[in-house]
Amino acid sequence: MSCSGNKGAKDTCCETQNQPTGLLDASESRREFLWDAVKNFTFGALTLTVIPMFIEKADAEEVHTGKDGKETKGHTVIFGYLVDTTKCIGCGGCMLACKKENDVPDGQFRTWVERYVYYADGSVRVDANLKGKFAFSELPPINPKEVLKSFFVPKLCNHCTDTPCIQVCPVGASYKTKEGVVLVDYEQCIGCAYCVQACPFGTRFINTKTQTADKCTWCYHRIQHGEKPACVDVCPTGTRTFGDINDPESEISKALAENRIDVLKSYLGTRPKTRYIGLTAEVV
Amino acid sequence: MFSRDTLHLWILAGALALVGVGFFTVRSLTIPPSFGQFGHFRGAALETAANKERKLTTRGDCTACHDTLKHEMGKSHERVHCIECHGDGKAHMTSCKDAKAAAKPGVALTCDKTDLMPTNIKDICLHCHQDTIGRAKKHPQIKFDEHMKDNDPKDPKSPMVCMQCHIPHDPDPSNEPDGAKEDKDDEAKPAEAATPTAAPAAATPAVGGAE
Repeated sequence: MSCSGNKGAKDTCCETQNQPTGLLDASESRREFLWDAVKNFTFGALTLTVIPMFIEKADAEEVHTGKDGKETKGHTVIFGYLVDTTKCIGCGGCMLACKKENDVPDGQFRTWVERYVYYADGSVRVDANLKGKFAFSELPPINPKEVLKSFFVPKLCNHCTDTPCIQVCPVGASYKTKEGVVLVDYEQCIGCAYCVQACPFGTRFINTKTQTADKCTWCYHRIQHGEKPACVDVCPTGTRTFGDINDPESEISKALAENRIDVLKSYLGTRPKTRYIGLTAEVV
Repeated sequence: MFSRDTLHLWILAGALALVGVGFFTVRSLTIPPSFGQFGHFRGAALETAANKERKLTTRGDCTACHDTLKHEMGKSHERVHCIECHGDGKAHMTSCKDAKAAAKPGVALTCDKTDLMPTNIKDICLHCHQDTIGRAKKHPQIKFDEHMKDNDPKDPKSPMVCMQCHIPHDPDPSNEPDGAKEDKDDEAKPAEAATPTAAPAAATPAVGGAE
C-alpha cells in the first residue's frame, strides 16, 4: 500500500510501515499462513479421499455377475482374445459368421483376414480376403516359386485397455464394460466418426445401414450368456481363442502362459486385449 | 426502487440466472436417465447389448439333440462347425421343436430335413483344402485337377466327387477307399430319410444332377 495515496489513512498506514520491521506483519502472515495451510490440507485431503471413494463405488457397481444372473467365479472377469496366426488357413469362415451374427452390411467387416506374402527380394505383399469364401484365389496371382513365406493374420477390434476411441467420443457413446469389452451405444452415437479416425487399428467404421459407428463387440450378446463369439465358434483350426484371462484355468490363460505373445502396435501403449501368436515386424 | 446502477446489476444477475436455468434444463433433457450409472456412458446400453438376438447356430444348438455327433467326428474335423456344411439349420430346429412339442410315445420325430445336406460338397471342401499361398504346409491342401488325375475317381465331374473317397465327418486318410462306401451311406441316411436299401442314394441324385 502506498502512503501517499490516502491522506486520512496516512497516519496509520505510515505508522504501520514505520514500525520496527516485522513483528506485527510477521504475526499476521503467520496466521494467514497457518489458516491457508489448514484450508489447503483439508481441501487436499477431501480431494484425495472423497472423490476416489465415489470412483471406487462406481467401479464396484459395475462388477456384474453376468446378465443371466450366473455368478462369476469370485473374481472380476476380464475377457481376452488370442489369435494364433500359425494356425489360420484363411478360409474366411469367421468373416461370414460375424456378418451373419451381427448383420454387418456388405463390404464392411468387424473382422477380416489379411495375408502377408514375403518375396525373396525382401518385398512384402499384403492383401485381404474381403469377399469371404475363395476370395484369396480370386486375387491377382502369385508365383509360388518367388514366395519366401506367407501367412494369414486375422484382424478384429483389439479391445484396448487404454482406448483412443473412447477418449474422443463427444457424446459418451463409446464405452468399456467392466469385463474390458469396448462397445458402442448405437442409440447415443451421432455418427461423427471421430472414433473411426482415432482407432489406430482401423477396426471401426460407420455402418452404412445404421449410420452409427460400428465395431467388433466380441459378440457381447453371446459371451454374456456363456457362449463364444461367433468367429471363435466357427473357426475350424482353433486359430481364435476367447475367454477369461483372469481365470488361470481357462483355455486362453493357459495358451497365453505357454506361448510367445505379441500385440499389434505395442508402441502406441493402448494395451490391447486381443493378443497374437506368430506376428512379424511387418504386421501392423 | 433501485438506483440505475443497482438495476443494471440485477438485470445482469437475472440474465445469468436464466442462462444457468436454461443450461441445466437442456442438460437434464438431453442426458439419458441411466447415463453415468456405470461410467461415462448410458447404463441401459449394456442391457441392450447383452440381450441382442443371437442369430448364428452354435455348436451347442446341434449337440443338444445330436449328442453322438462328437463321437462320429474324426480328430481332423473335430473343430469344423456343423453349419459349415449343413447350413444354419434354422428350419430344421424350428420343426424339431414343434415335433417334440407334439411328440407321442413310440412315434419317431419327424423333423424338416430339407436343405440340411449340401448339394455341392466339392466347393465346401475346397473352401478350406484348395492349395492356397499363405496356408500352413501341414494343412492338407490339393490342386483339384491334379488330385483328380492322381486318384481317378468314378465320376470326377460330380459336385459330390470328394465323398466318393472321403468321409466328411472323418476324412482321415486311413478311413479312405473301400470302407468309405458303407460309412458314406450311413451318413447319407438321415438326409434321405430312407429305407436301408437306399444305400447308393447319397451319390446318385447328385451325380444325375451333374450329368
